[in-house]
Amino acid sequence: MDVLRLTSLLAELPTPRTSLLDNLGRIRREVGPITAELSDALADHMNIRHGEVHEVKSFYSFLEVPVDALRVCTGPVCDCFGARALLARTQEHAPPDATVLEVPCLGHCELAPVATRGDTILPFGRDEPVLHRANEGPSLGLGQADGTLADYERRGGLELLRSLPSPERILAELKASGLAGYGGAGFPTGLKWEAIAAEPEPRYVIVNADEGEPGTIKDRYVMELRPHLLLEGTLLAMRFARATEGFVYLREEYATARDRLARAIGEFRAAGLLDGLSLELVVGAGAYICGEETAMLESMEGRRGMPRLKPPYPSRFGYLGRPTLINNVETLAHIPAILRAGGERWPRGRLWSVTGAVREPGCFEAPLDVTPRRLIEEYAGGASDEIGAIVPGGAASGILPPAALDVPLTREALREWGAGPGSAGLQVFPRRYPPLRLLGETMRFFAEESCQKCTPCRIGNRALHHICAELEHGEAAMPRPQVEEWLDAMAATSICGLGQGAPIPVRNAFRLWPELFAPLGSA
Amino acid sequence: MSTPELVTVTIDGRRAEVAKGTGLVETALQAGVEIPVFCYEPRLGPPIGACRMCLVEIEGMPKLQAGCTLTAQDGMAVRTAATSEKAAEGQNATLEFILVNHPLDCPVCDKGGECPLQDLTFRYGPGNTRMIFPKRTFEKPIPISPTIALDRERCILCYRCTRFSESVAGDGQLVARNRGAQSAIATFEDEPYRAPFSGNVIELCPVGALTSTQYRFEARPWEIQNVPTVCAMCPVGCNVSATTREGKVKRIVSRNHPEVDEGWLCDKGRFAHSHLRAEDRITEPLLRVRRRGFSPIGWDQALDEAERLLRGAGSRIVTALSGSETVEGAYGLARLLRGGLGAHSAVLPEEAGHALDAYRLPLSAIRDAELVVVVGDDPVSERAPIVDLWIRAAQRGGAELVTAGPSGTLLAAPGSAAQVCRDLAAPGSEVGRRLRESARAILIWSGQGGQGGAHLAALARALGFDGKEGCGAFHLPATPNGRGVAAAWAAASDEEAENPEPISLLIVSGDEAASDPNVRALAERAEAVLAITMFHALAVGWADLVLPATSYLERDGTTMNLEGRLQRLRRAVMPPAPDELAWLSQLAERFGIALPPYPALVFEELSPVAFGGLAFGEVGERAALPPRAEAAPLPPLESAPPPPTSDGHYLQLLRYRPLFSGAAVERVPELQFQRPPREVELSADDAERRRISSGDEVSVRSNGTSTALRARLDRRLAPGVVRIAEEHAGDLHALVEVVKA
Ligand SMILES: Cc1cc2nc3c(=O)[nH]c(=O)nc-3n(C[C@H](O)[C@H](O)[C@H](O)COP(=O)(O)O)c2cc1C
Ligand code: SF4
Ligand code: SF4
Ligand code: SF4
Ligand code: FES
Repeated sequence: MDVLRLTSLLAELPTPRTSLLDNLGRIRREVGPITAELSDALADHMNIRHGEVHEVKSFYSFLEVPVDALRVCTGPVCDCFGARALLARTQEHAPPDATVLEVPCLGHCELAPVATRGDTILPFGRDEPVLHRANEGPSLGLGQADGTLADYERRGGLELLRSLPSPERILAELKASGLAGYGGAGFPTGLKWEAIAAEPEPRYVIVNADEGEPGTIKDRYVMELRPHLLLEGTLLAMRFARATEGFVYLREEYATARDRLARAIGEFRAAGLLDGLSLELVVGAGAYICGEETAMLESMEGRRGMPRLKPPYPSRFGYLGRPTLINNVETLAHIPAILRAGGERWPRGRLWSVTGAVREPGCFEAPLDVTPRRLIEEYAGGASDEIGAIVPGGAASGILPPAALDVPLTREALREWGAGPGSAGLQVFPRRYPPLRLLGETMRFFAEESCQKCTPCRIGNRALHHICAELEHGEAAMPRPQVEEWLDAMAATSICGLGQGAPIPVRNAFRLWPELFAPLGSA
Repeated sequence: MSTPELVTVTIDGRRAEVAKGTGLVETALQAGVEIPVFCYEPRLGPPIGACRMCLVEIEGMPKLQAGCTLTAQDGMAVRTAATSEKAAEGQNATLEFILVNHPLDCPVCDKGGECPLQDLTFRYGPGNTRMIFPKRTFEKPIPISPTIALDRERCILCYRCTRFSESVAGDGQLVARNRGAQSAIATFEDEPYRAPFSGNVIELCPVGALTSTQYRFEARPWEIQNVPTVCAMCPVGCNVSATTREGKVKRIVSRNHPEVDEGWLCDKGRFAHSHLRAEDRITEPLLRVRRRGFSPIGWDQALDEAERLLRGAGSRIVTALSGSETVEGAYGLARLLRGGLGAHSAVLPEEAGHALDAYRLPLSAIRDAELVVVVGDDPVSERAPIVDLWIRAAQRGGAELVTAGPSGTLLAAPGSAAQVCRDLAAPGSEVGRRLRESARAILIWSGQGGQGGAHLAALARALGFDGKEGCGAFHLPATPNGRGVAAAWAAASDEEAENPEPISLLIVSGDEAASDPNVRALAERAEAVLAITMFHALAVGWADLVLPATSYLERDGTTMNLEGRLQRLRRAVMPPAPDELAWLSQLAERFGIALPPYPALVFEELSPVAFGGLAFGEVGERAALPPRAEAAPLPPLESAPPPPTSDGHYLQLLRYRPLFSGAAVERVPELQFQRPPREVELSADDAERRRISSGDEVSVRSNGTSTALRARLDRRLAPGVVRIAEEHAGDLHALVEVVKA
């Protein structure tokens, strides 16, 4: 440990509890992995009890490992491309002092199988990966990257910020657009904004840029390609909500996005667009659950990222107990286009991450009712293998057979299949990748990412993972009717979306892949 | 206070009328319906709704709700598992989830038979679990301190223990570690959980994950008896049950008096009981035979010897009382000595006096305060630990705490508490102004100094506390029953004491007196010493006759806590020798004094004089607090000369008596780790000037004596002051030098 470095760094670190996560991240980057001594030193500096800092730092996956650790992704898409074998090989050949870490989805599924070391992306076996395969969609225009604020302005950016529509008009357009949050829950954005406007000031705005849903890379694309667009959307939200403080909670793995956003924020500031406002980047530390909005609030307040009980919702009781508007990156990025075109005329669409067994994986803006087949064939260069299964959204969206390739990916249409569009991370799996394995990996992901607050999620996910693992060997850990009872209980009684959503892929598989569950007996 | 709005709630068809906002669990209980819970524990702060055991169906809500997170609203219709199939299914699943991951080693679990998980499984659970599941395995059990063992396999992650540690005790040492399947309860860096209230987590844990190392495999619930009594190890007087088996005390658990202790105990009260079986426990009378030798004698001979000593001394006797005697025991002594021999001279434990009775409140009133001001040299937690928890509760509720002392938020020199009181009463004082304006302000005197109670009462009067129901004052005496002993001593006679010179006989009553250096100094001057103590080490070498003492767990009677609440002590186990009252009664008879050997009868005799005629039977299981006294004229206030202060080179020595000290604690192996390390606390200023940092070995000297200690910097300590625990301060004088060794 570099004592001098620590001492001089500590002097710079702010002491409010809300700075805890950020301080831990900075110490890790600038001094080293958070050891007991570092944790104590920070606790003393911030006048927090030692145990509390310990409790917080151990909640996150990355604070105790070096910045230059090799992180090998074993998310579903990488797993299907042999990530486990690569991980084993890497571990075997790594020098003894190197840290090799297995991590769930790194958010770079288009490069699968992929690893990162520090801020560097390392796709296995390819020297020059194609970054950013995107289309020029009518709402987001990701086909072209904005290098600078000037580039952004040249494409019509900032107009809205400069001549801000009235709050009434903003609400009307949002409602007319039908925009429903793209973070996964699909809550109508117009209603959310209306709710926040009814709450007393001060209010906060938070951008959810924690994108951790396996197979989902869309927010990263927005931040890397059009950071100014996100910022304009964010400032519109802040001006609308009359919030003077805003935050972008960004997952730690997105180094490029962090740089681009930081630079763009600097440009906004220089241009006077942030006068009287503060917009801060908060960097996570490896915990999927912190993408859940109330877990995010806890994390930002310097505690373990465990979801709160809802109600009250963040729009009433959010950051530091104040009314808080939380939106997903993509949701906010669409808002300038909606206000420019008008809600009625806005070309309803969203960003689809298309990864896995396709020739040209990437991120594409397409209509809400696009089918998987069109996404694969017209946007992603066609399938690269015989398709065995598709996952339409994220981990909790369901696993569909090839027969579903022509289903429009709308909430309504997918409901018929017991699935949902989630965060629109379409993952295409080849026939050789067993659906049971995919399901098992999904449950393992939930078990490892569960915050362990509530019983059904804490134990249910581990049990479901176990059931899947046993099924791979043809064993039945539990009769089918009982599994169904458990699924019901998890959905009905878990505190947050993680535990509530985890049963979806299992239920959906029961229905669509009944042969896989024969050992469990009949329903 | 405005009367709360009443609402009507229906639970499983039964109606309950409660104040709006009452927790649903409590509301149901009122309607005679149980909503089972694991994580819910209102004393720990807002509900976290984690375990999902309390699921209920609420009319108009589509999803099952965690009942513990809801409060009563008018017209609410609730259906619990008893009448709602949906709720029953949810609850069944919750239990089953917990059970598939539970080791089910009930036959070897100390919680077996009194385990909420076991009970609820029996009442609500599925008959058996239907799955073989790879349960989480951990090394088990691991000691998280010498007193507490943690079995992580049994843990159901209800976060009760960590919430206690974080919010109630504020020690923050017990935490949840990691995320996902690796999550576990742990102490920080696996250091021992060393905090004054750690043992409460054992009682809070709804399963056998946190257990007492002392109680491990000691008894099963159906073999034990729980005796309701009170802890008499400090002036709080927590209500406890002593669990006994085969005539031995096996553990102490709380009996929750909501006004006194709210169900919490300190670790001294909880774990120190094994001193009853200390190796050097005196079980027979001892007579000095040669200069240092003692030999055991029979009781007849002992009483003969005692009679001879008393008759020889007549009224030239000084009695040193400990303040841990029962009211009846102290009265028995007083009857014999004052009534029988005219020996009125006594060294009484530091007493509170009656002046504060006009500002009396239950301890629980501290929680509701908006401003708490503590004066005095000693940390509250060392004197009356539970008071510290009440103050923390007040702070959680938004109250402001002002401490005026050598390491307070307002720095004041050691020994200056009386001056601080006068300053607070003076018109210019800012804190005084806020105290005056507040409707809910509390004053606490936590330190030595004779007339603490009277000074505090004068302050309360000056601040206008008379007639303000929410404002009150507490004096934290040094001994458990100082108030009761003083009252008992006074009840036996109103003759004035004349200090005999020379002292013919010194009677040392109890262990605190026996270990008091001032009493030892008196003994040097006395011609003979009769000591009543529990342990060899305390008596051997200086007493002429030693009579075995008993512990508060071994005797019946009453004791008065710092609030002025008279509480009932019950004998949990038989003492190894007759108790004090038994032999006192026989001895008294030889002097023609009728003293019954039964506490109930003794109490009836003294009660009209001391306690307004209260009947013994009315003291009650959870004793009530007498009403506030009428404001009476204050006693004349004396001002002790201020102690010598630091000149920069010499530092002022502040001695304190740690909670974990004293004859009983010294005899409990599991509590040794709680005793204060050999250290001296220095202010940052003084340390820097001497180039001393935390952890350095230093030598502390005065007038020829010196002692080697480890230095610890205390940023809050006033410059010019050093603090050392009594047991490490030895013979040091009031001013000391500190130099790096
Ligand atoms: C387990 C879990 C993880 C989540 N992760 C994310 C995420 O990474 N990004 C995100 O925007 N929303 C995430 N959400 C959804 C958020 O809670 C929240 O609904 C969303 O940020 C609201 O923004 P929107 O209305 O614009 O979609 C997650 C929800 C759950 C339950
Ligand atoms: S559902 Fe899972 S992630 Fe959400 S609060 Fe419960 S344990 Fe935590
Ligand atoms: S140890 Fe006991 S009290 Fe603590 S979380 Fe586990 S079950 Fe709850
Ligand atoms: S606080 Fe005092 S009365 Fe209560 S348990 Fe501790 S020593 Fe006993
Ligand atoms: S008792 Fe309600 S969730 Fe635990």
